[in-house]
Amino acid sequence: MKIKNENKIYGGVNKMLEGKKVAILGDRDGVPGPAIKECIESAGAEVVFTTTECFV
Amino acid sequence: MDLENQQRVKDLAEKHGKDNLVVILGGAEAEASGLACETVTNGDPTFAGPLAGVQLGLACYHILEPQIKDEVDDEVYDEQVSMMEMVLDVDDIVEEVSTYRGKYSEFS
Repeated sequence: MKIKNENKIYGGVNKMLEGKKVAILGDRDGVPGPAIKECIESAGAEVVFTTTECFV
Repeated sequence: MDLENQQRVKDLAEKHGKDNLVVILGGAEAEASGLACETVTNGDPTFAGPLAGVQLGLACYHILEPQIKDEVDDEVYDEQVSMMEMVLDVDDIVEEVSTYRGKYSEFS
Protein backbone atom coordinates (compact mmCIF):
# COMPACT_ATOMS: atom_id res chain seq x y z
CA MET A 1 0.00 0.00 0.00
CA LYS A 2 1.28 3.46 -0.84
CA ILE A 3 1.13 6.09 1.85
CA LYS A 4 1.02 9.65 0.56
CA ASN A 5 2.93 12.07 2.74
CA GLU A 6 2.78 15.59 1.27
CA ASN A 7 4.58 15.22 -2.06
CA LYS A 8 6.44 12.04 -1.44
CA ILE A 9 4.83 8.72 -2.16
CA TYR A 10 6.60 6.06 -0.19
CA GLY A 11 6.88 2.80 -2.03
CA GLY A 12 6.56 4.55 -5.39
CA VAL A 13 8.35 7.19 -7.39
CA ASN A 14 7.01 10.72 -7.28
CA LYS A 15 9.30 13.38 -8.68
CA MET A 16 7.73 16.68 -7.74
CA LEU A 17 10.22 18.84 -9.62
CA GLU A 18 10.81 16.75 -12.72
CA GLY A 19 9.54 18.52 -15.83
CA LYS A 20 8.45 21.62 -13.90
CA LYS A 21 9.44 25.22 -14.58
CA VAL A 22 11.19 26.76 -11.61
CA ALA A 23 11.69 30.38 -10.52
CA ILE A 24 14.51 30.81 -8.02
CA LEU A 25 14.66 33.61 -5.47
CA GLY A 26 18.06 33.19 -3.85
CA ASP A 27 19.51 35.30 -1.06
CA ARG A 28 23.01 36.72 -0.83
CA ASP A 29 23.11 35.98 2.90
CA GLY A 30 21.40 32.62 2.55
CA VAL A 31 21.60 30.33 -0.44
CA PRO A 32 22.42 32.30 -3.64
CA GLY A 33 20.47 31.81 -6.87
CA PRO A 34 23.21 30.03 -8.88
CA ALA A 35 23.74 27.45 -6.10
CA ILE A 36 20.00 26.67 -6.04
CA LYS A 37 20.00 26.51 -9.85
CA GLU A 38 22.63 23.75 -9.85
CA CYS A 39 20.54 21.76 -7.38
CA ILE A 40 17.23 22.20 -9.19
CA GLU A 41 18.67 21.23 -12.55
CA SER A 42 20.07 18.05 -11.01
CA ALA A 43 16.47 17.21 -10.01
CA GLY A 44 15.30 17.36 -13.65
CA ALA A 45 13.46 20.69 -13.55
CA GLU A 46 13.86 23.59 -15.95
CA VAL A 47 15.00 26.84 -14.34
CA VAL A 48 13.23 29.76 -16.05
CA PHE A 49 14.32 32.56 -13.71
CA THR A 50 17.13 32.99 -11.19
CA THR A 51 17.89 35.95 -8.99
CA THR A 52 19.82 36.61 -5.80
CA GLU A 53 18.15 39.15 -3.54
CA CYS A 54 19.98 41.30 -1.05
CA PHE A 55 18.08 42.44 2.02
CA VAL A 56 20.73 44.83 3.36
CA MET B 1 10.28 40.56 -2.14
CA ASP B 2 11.19 43.38 -4.46
CA LEU B 3 8.71 44.75 -6.97
CA GLU B 4 10.69 43.72 -10.04
CA ASN B 5 10.79 40.08 -8.93
CA GLN B 6 7.08 40.14 -8.15
CA GLN B 7 6.43 41.19 -11.75
CA ARG B 8 8.74 38.46 -13.07
CA VAL B 9 6.97 35.76 -11.07
CA LYS B 10 3.57 37.07 -12.18
CA ASP B 11 4.64 37.02 -15.84
CA LEU B 12 6.13 33.51 -15.52
CA ALA B 13 2.94 32.18 -13.93
CA GLU B 14 0.93 33.57 -16.85
CA LYS B 15 3.38 32.20 -19.41
CA HIS B 16 3.92 28.69 -18.02
CA GLY B 17 0.72 28.16 -16.05
CA LYS B 18 0.31 28.40 -12.29
CA ASP B 19 0.19 24.61 -11.94
CA ASN B 20 3.47 24.20 -13.80
CA LEU B 21 5.59 26.78 -11.98
CA VAL B 22 7.43 26.13 -8.72
CA VAL B 23 9.16 28.88 -6.72
CA ILE B 24 12.28 27.91 -4.76
CA LEU B 25 13.56 30.25 -2.06
CA GLY B 26 17.04 30.59 -0.60
CA GLY B 27 16.34 33.16 2.12
CA ALA B 28 18.60 33.36 5.16
CA GLU B 29 15.83 34.17 7.61
CA ALA B 30 12.56 32.48 8.41
CA GLU B 31 10.50 35.67 8.42
CA ALA B 32 11.75 36.93 5.04
CA SER B 33 11.31 33.46 3.52
CA GLY B 34 7.78 33.24 4.88
CA LEU B 35 6.94 36.67 3.45
CA ALA B 36 8.26 35.66 0.03
CA CYS B 37 6.19 32.46 0.17
CA GLU B 38 3.10 34.44 1.19
CA THR B 39 3.69 36.87 -1.69
CA VAL B 40 3.77 34.19 -4.41
CA THR B 41 0.81 32.29 -2.95
CA ASN B 42 -1.60 34.80 -1.42
CA GLY B 43 -0.32 38.09 -2.86
CA ASP B 44 1.90 40.92 -1.63
CA PRO B 45 0.99 41.50 2.05
CA THR B 46 2.36 45.06 1.87
CA PHE B 47 0.06 45.85 -1.09
CA ALA B 48 2.95 47.71 -2.73
CA GLY B 49 3.86 45.50 -5.68
CA PRO B 50 2.38 43.88 -8.79
CA LEU B 51 1.24 40.86 -6.73
CA ALA B 52 -0.92 42.96 -4.38
CA GLY B 53 -4.31 41.23 -4.30
CA VAL B 54 -3.08 38.56 -6.77
CA GLN B 55 -3.45 35.06 -5.34
CA LEU B 56 -1.25 32.94 -7.57
CA GLY B 57 -1.34 29.95 -5.19
CA LEU B 58 2.00 28.72 -6.55
CA ALA B 59 3.92 25.78 -5.15
CA CYS B 60 6.67 27.40 -3.10
CA TYR B 61 9.47 25.71 -1.15
CA HIS B 62 12.74 26.66 0.48
CA ILE B 63 15.81 24.84 -0.85
CA LEU B 64 16.42 23.54 2.70
CA GLU B 65 13.06 21.73 2.89
CA PRO B 66 13.29 17.92 2.82
CA GLN B 67 10.88 17.58 -0.13
CA ILE B 68 13.36 19.50 -2.30
CA LYS B 69 16.54 18.11 -0.75
CA ASP B 70 15.31 14.57 -1.45
CA GLU B 71 15.04 15.27 -5.18
CA VAL B 72 18.40 16.96 -5.60
CA ASP B 73 21.53 14.98 -6.43
CA ASP B 74 23.31 14.38 -3.10
CA GLU B 75 26.71 15.42 -4.38
CA VAL B 76 25.41 18.66 -5.88
CA TYR B 77 23.48 19.48 -2.69
CA ASP B 78 26.56 18.88 -0.55
CA GLU B 79 28.65 21.08 -2.79
CA GLN B 80 26.19 23.96 -3.16
CA VAL B 81 24.02 24.08 -0.03
CA SER B 82 25.36 21.99 2.85
CA MET B 83 27.58 24.74 4.27
CA MET B 84 24.66 27.18 4.56
CA GLU B 85 22.50 24.37 5.89
CA MET B 86 24.83 24.19 8.90
CA VAL B 87 24.68 27.94 9.51
CA LEU B 88 21.00 28.78 8.94
CA ASP B 89 18.12 28.01 11.30
CA VAL B 90 16.63 25.25 9.16
CA ASP B 91 13.77 24.33 11.52
CA ASP B 92 12.48 27.92 11.75
CA ILE B 93 12.73 28.44 7.99
CA VAL B 94 10.98 25.15 7.17
CA GLU B 95 8.20 25.82 9.67
CA GLU B 96 7.55 29.36 8.40
CA VAL B 97 7.57 28.50 4.68
CA SER B 98 5.50 25.33 5.10
CA THR B 99 2.92 27.25 7.15
CA TYR B 100 2.28 29.76 4.37
CA ARG B 101 2.38 27.03 1.72
CA GLY B 102 -0.14 25.00 3.67
CA LYS B 103 -2.44 27.99 4.01
CA TYR B 104 -2.32 29.48 0.53
CA SER B 105 -0.66 27.23 -2.05
CA GLU B 106 -3.06 25.53 -4.45
CA PHE B 107 -0.52 23.55 -6.42
CA SER B 108 1.83 21.90 -3.91
